[in-house]
Amino acid sequence: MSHVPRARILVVDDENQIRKLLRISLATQGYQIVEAANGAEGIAAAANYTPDLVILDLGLPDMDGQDVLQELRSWSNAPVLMLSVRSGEDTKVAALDLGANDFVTKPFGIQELLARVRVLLRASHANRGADPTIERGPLRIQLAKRQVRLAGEEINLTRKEYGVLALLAQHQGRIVTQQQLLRSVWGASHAHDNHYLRIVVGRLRQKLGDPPTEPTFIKTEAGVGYRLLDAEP
Amino acid sequence: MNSSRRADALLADLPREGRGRLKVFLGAAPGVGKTYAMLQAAHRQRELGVDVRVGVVETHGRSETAALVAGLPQQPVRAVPYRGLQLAELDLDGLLASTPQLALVDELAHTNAPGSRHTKRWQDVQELLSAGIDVYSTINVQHLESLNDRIHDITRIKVRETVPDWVIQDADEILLIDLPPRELLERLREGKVYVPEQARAAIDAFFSQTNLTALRELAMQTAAARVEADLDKRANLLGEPLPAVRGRLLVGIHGGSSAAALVRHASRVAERRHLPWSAVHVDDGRAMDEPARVRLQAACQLAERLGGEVVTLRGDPARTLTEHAHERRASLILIARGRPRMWSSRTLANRLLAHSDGLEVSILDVGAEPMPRLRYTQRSAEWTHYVLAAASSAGATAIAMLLSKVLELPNVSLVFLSAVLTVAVCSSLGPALACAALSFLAYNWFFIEPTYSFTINREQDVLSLFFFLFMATLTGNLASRLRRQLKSLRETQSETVAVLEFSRRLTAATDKAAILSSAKQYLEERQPLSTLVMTRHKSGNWHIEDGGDLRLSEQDRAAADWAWKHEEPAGLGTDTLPNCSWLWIPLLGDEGTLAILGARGSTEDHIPPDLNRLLKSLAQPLGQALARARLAEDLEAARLHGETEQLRSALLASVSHDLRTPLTAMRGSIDSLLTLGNAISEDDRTELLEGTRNEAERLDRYIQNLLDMTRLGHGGLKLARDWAAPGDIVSSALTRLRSVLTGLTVKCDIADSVPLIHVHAALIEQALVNVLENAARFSPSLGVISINVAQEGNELCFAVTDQGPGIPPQERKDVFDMFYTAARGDRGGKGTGLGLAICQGMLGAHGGRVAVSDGPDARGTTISMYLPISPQPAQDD
Repeated sequence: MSHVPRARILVVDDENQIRKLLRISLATQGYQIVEAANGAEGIAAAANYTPDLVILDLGLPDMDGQDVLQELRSWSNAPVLMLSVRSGEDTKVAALDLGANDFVTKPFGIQELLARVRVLLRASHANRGADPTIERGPLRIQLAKRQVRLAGEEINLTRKEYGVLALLAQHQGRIVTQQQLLRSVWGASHAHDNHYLRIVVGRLRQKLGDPPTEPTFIKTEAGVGYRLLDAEP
Repeated sequence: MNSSRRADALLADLPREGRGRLKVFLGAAPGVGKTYAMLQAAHRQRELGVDVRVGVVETHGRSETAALVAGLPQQPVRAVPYRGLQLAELDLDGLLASTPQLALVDELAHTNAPGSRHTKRWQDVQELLSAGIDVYSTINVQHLESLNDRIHDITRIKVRETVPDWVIQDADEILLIDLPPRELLERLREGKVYVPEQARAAIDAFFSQTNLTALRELAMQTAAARVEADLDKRANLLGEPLPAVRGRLLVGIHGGSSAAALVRHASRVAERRHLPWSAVHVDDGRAMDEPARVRLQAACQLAERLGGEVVTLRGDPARTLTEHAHERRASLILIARGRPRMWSSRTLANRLLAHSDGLEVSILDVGAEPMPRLRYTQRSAEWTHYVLAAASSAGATAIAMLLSKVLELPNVSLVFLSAVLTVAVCSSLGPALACAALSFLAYNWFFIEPTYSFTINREQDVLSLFFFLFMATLTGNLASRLRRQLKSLRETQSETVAVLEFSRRLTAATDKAAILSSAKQYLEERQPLSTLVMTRHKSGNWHIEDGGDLRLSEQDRAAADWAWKHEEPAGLGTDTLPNCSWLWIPLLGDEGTLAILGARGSTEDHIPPDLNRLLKSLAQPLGQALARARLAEDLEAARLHGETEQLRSALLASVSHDLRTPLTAMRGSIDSLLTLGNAISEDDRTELLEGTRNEAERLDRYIQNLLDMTRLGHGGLKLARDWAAPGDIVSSALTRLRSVLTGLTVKCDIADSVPLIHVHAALIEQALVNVLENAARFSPSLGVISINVAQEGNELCFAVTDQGPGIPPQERKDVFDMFYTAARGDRGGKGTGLGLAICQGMLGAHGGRVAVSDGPDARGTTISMYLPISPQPAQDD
């Protein structure tokens, strides 16, 4: 578990209490914190401090969080972790499609938030693509050979099953939206055939021996997408 | 007659007692100073101690006027938002409520903003007058309806805001505010006349010297006509006839083909002579056929378009016309020649002249009218009846010849009598009489000695022959009358049957919508009609019940308003506003009009009279059915209201209990940690913190439930269905409840084969969370909760079983009631009691259901959520 020391995190949220909570909790992990109370300040701070990660609340007083995100994405590649309330699946998906990297639902547990932050920071620093093999506990995916092994045993996957698993593995720990999966595995014309995903993920779980109610590999983010879970720390 | 007219004049004055007096300040054009004069007059009244109140006055930014207004008590105007503008309208109700003695209402011709009680301000003024409030108002002459065309001719401007002439005629006083055109133009140049910027070009054209002069003359004429009317009234009171000062033209119209030409001619004559004119139809009680009715209606419409007044009177044409001419101080009566039956022009003209002392009567030759087609068909029908009559007598003769060998001569007449009776029964009186005459002749010719001649030798034969004729005539008459009665009885009966059938159908309908739709269906499938039912809001806006969108003309609306208010039919084919395209029949309940039924021919623009009658008789059962539905609705609303109140109080009780409990725990723990911090052992500290976290999570769930319940309760719940794997739903529910389920064992059994479900996953997840939370609450410590997901027939079942105390069978159906636990107060344990009710609501919204049963081995409780399984989507590989 190697986190990058003194990573700089920008927190954009209009609630003072939430900012305070995030500042205290993130500081314990050794991160450097920059705060902004609204969208305009957030964009300015992102330009001034070039943060390694942005935690962005979607409900801001001056502008829509999505607009902030869009503005940010036009010149910055820093990973963005969104904060949003429950029952806002549509906004989550829209933000993810706009280039946000992950989300945490309010009210959130701080453990979950810290885990997401770690994943995002690591991913942005890891040199992905160079290593064609992804390992996650007993699961080993060799992208070059299109081979998947579970505890050393090779697993036979269909093309679609492999496509979904590989894409999730490449974004390990982070969320991949249904749209992203459908577009890249099935093609743009099937972008709304969510049931393909449900069926394929169901079969993947069976083949990986993953119980659907307490999955250890593929986690469903209801209404949004899937993520390949990080190994428990 | 004079005395009766005098009485009429007195009577006409009577309702004015208690009614306010209207004083109109009349001007030739904007800017002559009407408003200013009105305000000055109001100030004078005020000095006399009259309670004056300004209803609405347009100052148009003129400071002198504003200063005058400021000196008077004002009724604040009503701001009406309209297309982004704020229109200032007269606050009629406010003004009525403040009951001043004198109200100032500027611009009589003003059209009120949509949604106001009356479309026109003059109607507001009428209401003020009815309430006994005196009114001062202003008007420019171009707004008078009768002058509309002439104004257009003079100025080339079509004035849209008009006031009916009678409003001005009925005014108690008219004051002409005169300003020579030259001075007015001066004022215009000095910018003292308000001109809206967008209309400047038109207004400039309007304010030409010639226009202003012509308008001024019109204004003066109007005021002069008014002086005459006053004179007339006084003369009536004194009982003296008065020669016409200026006069009026009356044109007598009827349903003949010349009606339209006559009206046009009258309009030209009136124009030439500068006379106001009326088109008068006198209904002499004779039936009119359909084409005639249509022609009459068209003529009336034309007269109105051409600026004439339309009057319908009843009585003898000549007498009624002359009487009306005297009443209206008419100087000229115009009638058509060439109407063969009803108003035979010669006799009518003669009789008119006989009655008309000092009246000019013009008879116009507009060409002979063709006989109405309908009459030919009637004739031809009768003609066949006469043939029948002849044939019957011939037949009777033949039969009598045959029977004469067996029958005695007097009895042979019975054969002829039978023929006469038969004809009478089959046709009408005329043919029956013809048959009697023919039979009489045949009887005489063939049977009375000497036969084959009309001579009669024996006296007794003469007697029997004439008795025969008498009998034949009498029985023929009776039989044909009987037939007529039978026919009309049949018609009435068919109407009664129709009403009965209609009522029977209405009885089957339970609510308003069903009643209306079955009524509409009934009417439209039998008659060539299109119908609609409207109700009127308090604002005066109409609402069409079956949801259709219909644009009613101003006139149709006015007729509907009238029918609603007076509880009598109006519009097409009635005496009130007959030129509408709709017939409005009010549907009456015990407490006034409930709705009105509109009807119009789907192919023709009129409704036949028998259909008209039928509609009116159907209106009664329809009104009763609506009243019944309304009563049922009221009862239901009262019941619902009671339930809502109960729910509200239960909700408040439960919210205060359930939201406070976790808050109390959280606050207590945090306080302890803050103040006692170091004194608390590490373990206890962790326990307090964990407790705080759990309580916070619980609070979050309650809030979610409350939100869900509001959404369910207000119908704002929209299902965003998508294909979901049951396992995913269970998984997210378990994740959310992790802290609640700590210490319990959860056993999941989901078959690999379970199908996908097409649901709004977040809602089903919430339902499952509620059920699981309930299960956790009643589970013993270290208990087991099992979740079983399996397909059962066409349904997918999520069964959650706990090892708790179970629910007694008699209470099982109550657990889904909102606030069941809440209703038990603080003893009800944790939870808002909303949980299972919401669960049921969510499942219900998906077409599913929830059931409670004993757990296996009669231990604990199983709550089963059933969801219908949709046909599975296609797979891709």
